[in-house]
Amino acid sequence: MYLRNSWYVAAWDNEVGAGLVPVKILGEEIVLYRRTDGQVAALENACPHRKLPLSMGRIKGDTVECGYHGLTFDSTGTCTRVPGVEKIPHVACVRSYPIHERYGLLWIWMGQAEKADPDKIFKVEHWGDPAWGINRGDSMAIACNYLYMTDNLLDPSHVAWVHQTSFGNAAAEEAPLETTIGEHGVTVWRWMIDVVPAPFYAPYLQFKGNCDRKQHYEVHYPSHAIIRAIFAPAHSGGEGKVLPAETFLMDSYNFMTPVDENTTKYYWFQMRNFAPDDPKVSAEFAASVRGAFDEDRAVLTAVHQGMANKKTPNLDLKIDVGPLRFRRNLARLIEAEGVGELAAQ
Amino acid sequence: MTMAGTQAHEGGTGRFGQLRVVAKTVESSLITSFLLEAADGSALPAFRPGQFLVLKVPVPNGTGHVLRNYSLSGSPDVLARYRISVKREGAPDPDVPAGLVSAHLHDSVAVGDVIAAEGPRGAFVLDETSGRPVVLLSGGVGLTPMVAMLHRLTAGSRRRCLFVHACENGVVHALREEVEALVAQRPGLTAHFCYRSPTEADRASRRYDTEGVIDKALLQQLLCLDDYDVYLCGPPPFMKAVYGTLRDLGVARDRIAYEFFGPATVLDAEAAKPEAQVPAQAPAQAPAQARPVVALTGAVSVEFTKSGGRADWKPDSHSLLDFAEAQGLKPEFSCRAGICGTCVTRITSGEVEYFEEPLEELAPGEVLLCCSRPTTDVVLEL
Repeated sequence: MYLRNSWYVAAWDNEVGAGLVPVKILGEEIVLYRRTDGQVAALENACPHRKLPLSMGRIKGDTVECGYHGLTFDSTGTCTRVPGVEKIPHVACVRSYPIHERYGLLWIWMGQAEKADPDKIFKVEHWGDPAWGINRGDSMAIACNYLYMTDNLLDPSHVAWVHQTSFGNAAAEEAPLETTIGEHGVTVWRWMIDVVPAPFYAPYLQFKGNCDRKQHYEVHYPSHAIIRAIFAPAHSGGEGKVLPAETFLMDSYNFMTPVDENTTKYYWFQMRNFAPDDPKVSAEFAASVRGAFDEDRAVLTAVHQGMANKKTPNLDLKIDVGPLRFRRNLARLIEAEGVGELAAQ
Repeated sequence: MTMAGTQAHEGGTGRFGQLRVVAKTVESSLITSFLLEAADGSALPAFRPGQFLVLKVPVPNGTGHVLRNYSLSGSPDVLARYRISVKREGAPDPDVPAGLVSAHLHDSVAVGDVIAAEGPRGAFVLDETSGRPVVLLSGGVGLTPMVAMLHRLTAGSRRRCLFVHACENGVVHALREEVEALVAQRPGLTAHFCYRSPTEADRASRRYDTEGVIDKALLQQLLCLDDYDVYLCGPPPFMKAVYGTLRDLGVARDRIAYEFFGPATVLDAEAAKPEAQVPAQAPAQAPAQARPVVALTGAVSVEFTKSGGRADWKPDSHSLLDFAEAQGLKPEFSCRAGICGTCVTRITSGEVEYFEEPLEELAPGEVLLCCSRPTTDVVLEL
């Protein structure tokens, strides 16, 4: 089940160049291409005649020509040519999806087109801020349902076991978690006071000794997350405090696009409050994050299989409060969307 | 839903004292005020504007008593006597006799009678540390805590205050003259009365300001752009509508404090659980409330039918699960946070309140032990 009236990432902008790019999102086959003015278009990837994927055809100017019998469609999905036919039937059309470029990503709206409002695209703080550095992101496909990923991104405790050599250490094993239910999603967070910095972050900290660490895991409906990492000198941190200038801040943006119920495309990038123009730091961040997410991928793929084939019941623990409240609220939104669509019919 | 759970710690002594009715005043066709003094002549405890008393009223057939909350509607600066203003209620649901307690107070309680009461208590109180202007929004008998707040704002503050009250018409409108007299006492205070269906007499005497309900246009007209502390009290439909309107107007969630008259529910559909900083999480105030409120007297008993035990509920127990474990029982559990459903137990009689909303709706006759506390005597199949 998916929330349809929402923006999802369809691709990185540089993945759509001169050719036709097939993607699958929420179980729907879609083809992406650029018009001559550079704008990206997204169409249903099936010619209405014999359902050949349009991605097997050709780009002709601003239109796409089917590779079977030459039916041609513009970027609104309207058929502009049926070779050998005088009058084009108006049933000859394909669905067109609203699509919008932002943060180097192509955002596609999977619901009712009239509701597509680019202001509702996930907000990235500090985007374009010259004091902040970015490691331009990456992506991977993971063979799991997207809700196992929202679980994972509302679960600060897993780092102590899954990411022992990077984000986690013993300090992250027992500190109690707070869960905040907000308007747009759920946040699970905690401060850990006077602890040893985790291995990935330690080399970048501009202070010596122990730290106060905040893990802030915030996932918005349907499946977009900001994970904030804060490292302040020991005993200078805590909720609501003004943090010293040398505090390390990293905002990790994580966008999950359900391909179908069993596969999720994962896009991410990280913003940091130091070394804005240092490509070496960016490369180190990119490599470390990729390594950690590969660890998640191995776990989540196996979790999906394990849950799908379980022979005995699974447990829910106190650490699951945030993930399960998120799932419940998202299910309600999806249900409400279904009711709304029925009412509109 | 944390609303019900937190109030137990906001004031109150847990002991019921005796209050004597020294005056009874009809305020409108539905609402009557009672002035109360300590029966033994002792001083009454101070209260914060917005707090309520818990009244223990015998049921007519003599088999016990029920508890109801009533907001203190008088000035918090006058401690010689308390005032409560009680609406005569219809039946809130088919299982409960129409307005059992309110009818008793209206019809049977007379000047000179003594009532058992506990409090004042409640977390829905005027934040007097804030300097922001105040909006007091009430519907029907929800005006009672607002009048207490207005008294304090009139006498003890320079903050601007807008008192907006919605009701059916002048026949049921209580405490109008008192509110008008208060807002006349200093600049910066305004009252606005909104009648849904004014009578001819209301029209003739212009006793109201607008006709209809409190809607977006009205609030936009009344409120200039500013950062307000908003207090909201009334029946659930009113609360839902006005809360939604306030949010539409951009009022932050943590600037809106509210208290229900009638069964508590969740105002913000997108935020199933109010965030921690929401200032007021007191539960249903009571005239319309069908269920007795939590009693902190130790009189609530918890009976376990399978193991055969019975014990007095300890108000400092975190949950029924903790309490059962303290009694030596070993119920199954996993999350202890209301999400997994492992500790689900049959309840043969009695009522509980949840301090964490169970993730999934429970079948009738089931409770989750890990996130609930009893509000009446309960019998559990445990």
